[in-house]
Amino acid sequence: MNSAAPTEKTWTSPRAVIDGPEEVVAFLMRTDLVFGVDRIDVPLAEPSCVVFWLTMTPLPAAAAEGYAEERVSIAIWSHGRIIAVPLDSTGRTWHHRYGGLFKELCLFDPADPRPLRWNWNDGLAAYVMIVYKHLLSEEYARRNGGRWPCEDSPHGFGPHPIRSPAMQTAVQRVA
Amino acid sequence: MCSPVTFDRSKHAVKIDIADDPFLFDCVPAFESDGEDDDVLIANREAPAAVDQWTRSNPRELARRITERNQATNGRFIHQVRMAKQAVRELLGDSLPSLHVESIAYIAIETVLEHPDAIAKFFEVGAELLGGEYFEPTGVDQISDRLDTAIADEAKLAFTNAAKRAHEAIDLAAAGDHNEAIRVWATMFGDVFPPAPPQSANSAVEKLTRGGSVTSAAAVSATRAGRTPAPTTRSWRLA
Repeated sequence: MNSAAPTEKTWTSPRAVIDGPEEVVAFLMRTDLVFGVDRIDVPLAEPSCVVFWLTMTPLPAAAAEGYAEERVSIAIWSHGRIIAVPLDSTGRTWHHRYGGLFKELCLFDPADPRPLRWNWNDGLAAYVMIVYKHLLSEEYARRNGGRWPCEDSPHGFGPHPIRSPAMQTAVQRVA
Repeated sequence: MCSPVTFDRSKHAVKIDIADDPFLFDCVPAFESDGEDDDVLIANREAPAAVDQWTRSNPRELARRITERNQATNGRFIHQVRMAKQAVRELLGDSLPSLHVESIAYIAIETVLEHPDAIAKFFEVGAELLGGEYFEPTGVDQISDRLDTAIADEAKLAFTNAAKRAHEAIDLAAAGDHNEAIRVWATMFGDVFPPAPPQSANSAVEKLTRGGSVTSAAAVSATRAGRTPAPTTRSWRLA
């Protein structure tokens, strides 16, 4: 994962996150590893699961053109599963979102090379930045006739070659 | 028509503020001292005893030191001190007296440095010195003793953040993104610095999602040199 070089505790264990949600909130609100997090609530904190509700402000350039604040729920289970589900999502189109029970965002292709995928070793801050980027991308797609702002992975299974220089660079940067 | 002028008194000077002019003037009455050096005696309105009401000062020695340093830096030092003063005024208002800015610059900038490197080093060294001990350029007066602790604490934090931003701007320029470097510098120097071209929403989102980074100016660079690089991923779904 080609995230920022960690310079402080980046929460790489779901157990640690579940055991210290208040510390996680304090970390995410102050760290330079994320951008746009304006507020975090913790509506659920149990030994097996914790849920964070993040309020995220758009980039100033996007806000100036009417991009709205986004609210997203990030749920983390003790066995490591993590999902991000947009709140206030009714009535808006979503380009990359699963269709199951939670309707979580599809943040990366699980078949992609490691540098293009997130896992817990990358830390929670990197996950939050991916969510932030994704929410901006969904709004970008709504405003640009469904066009995604960067190369995305074709829906479904099968060969998904990496085509764009940006993604190829990202793979090479860490490989 | 003449601008209105306001006069005030400080410990050593009559302060003159000419409206519509950004500069304040300190008018300091002084007498030649009777020693072998070229020191002067200046008034001290806050002296506890009458015998101390005229205090020895060495402005000519200070001027010589500054002139020497300016020559040693090919004439850049004076300009870089002005830049430092502008940035400090933008960060802290007038809370950090200008002799402290000059003293920190004198300690930080000893050789010929490009302006961005000099400003980065000024803030870096200042962040280390503030809250500790340092002298003015003549080495006679440990002026750090006279700085209020709360101001030193505030300045230390501001200098630490400014040093990070200066290095970010340098890195952005080195990576080829001069517009975003300019935007970061502008957050430090204020309106006197040339503004960077505005960024559109589409451009910002495209750069961020194609491997870019968010800078401390809250804009997006296509490079990874901004303060918050974004992980690069390809969104996907089952079908």
